[in-house]
Amino acid sequence: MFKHDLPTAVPTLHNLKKTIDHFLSDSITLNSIDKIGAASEFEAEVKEILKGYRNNSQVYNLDFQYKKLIQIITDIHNLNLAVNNEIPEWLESELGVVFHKIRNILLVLEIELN
Amino acid sequence: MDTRFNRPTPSDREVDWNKNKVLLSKTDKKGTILYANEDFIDVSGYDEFELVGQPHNIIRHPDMPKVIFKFLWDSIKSSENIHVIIKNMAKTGRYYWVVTDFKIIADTDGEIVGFFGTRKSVPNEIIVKFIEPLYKKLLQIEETSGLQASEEYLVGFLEERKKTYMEYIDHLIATGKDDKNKISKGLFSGLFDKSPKK
Repeated sequence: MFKHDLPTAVPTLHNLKKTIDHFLSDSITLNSIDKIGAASEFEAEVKEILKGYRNNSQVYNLDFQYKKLIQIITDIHNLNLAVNNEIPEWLESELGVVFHKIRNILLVLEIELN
Repeated sequence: MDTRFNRPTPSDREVDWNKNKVLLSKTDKKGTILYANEDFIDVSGYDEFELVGQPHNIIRHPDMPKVIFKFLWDSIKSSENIHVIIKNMAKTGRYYWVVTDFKIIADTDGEIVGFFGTRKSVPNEIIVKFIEPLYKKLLQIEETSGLQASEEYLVGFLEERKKTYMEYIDHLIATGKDDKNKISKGLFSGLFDKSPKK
């Protein structure tokens, strides 16, 4: 099934990778976090890939990690808004870990698709 | 707990883990795991997919006295951050001791929405000399006389030391000593004081 959808899947994956690379190069600041809110292009990309390839374990993992990413972003956002709440250092580093995981999944997917 | 997973059989072997690592998790206010870091996942022995969405007691060791969790939840419900020493159980049945620091996450209205749990290793000597004997005693009391009796024993144990539970474990970790007969700076602080921090 994957092979047949290759022409449409590859550009989507490249877009995703570009988005992730952009966030990574932006040193993951709160400003860059805001750019990937729930309504962002990034989420649309993940949904698009999910639509066609839900049964693929890497795609499932991509969705899983994306949801984790959104959870962490929301937590950082809430902690940032709440008075007397400090953002734990580990949370920011965990965000970085998830970013890298997503990028690695995308690399694996790209190899699978080709 | 999700019925897809069977409780492992406890083993008397410790998980072989890097004790410089910090094990982290986020739960909702009911204690359901929302996410965890790689080290937490590795030490637990579960896959990330298996952990997320599960109640935190998926890693609870049967050697843990219930009164410690009662104390933990009482503190959390009173909006107090807290740390406790906990024996956890990995998927393999092996155990690992940690001191877990629970930080409350509140929304902008001050409503509790979840908790961050930060876990570090505890020196083995402290576990063997102080914590294990105490928890074994508490568990034994729970099994024979119930939770209330266990709580009364713990309160008495701490009163003898003029410390709250957190002061007691902080002291153990800092000094490696029990100091049962010495008066601490916590003399006037209430044991299990549940009043919110100002």
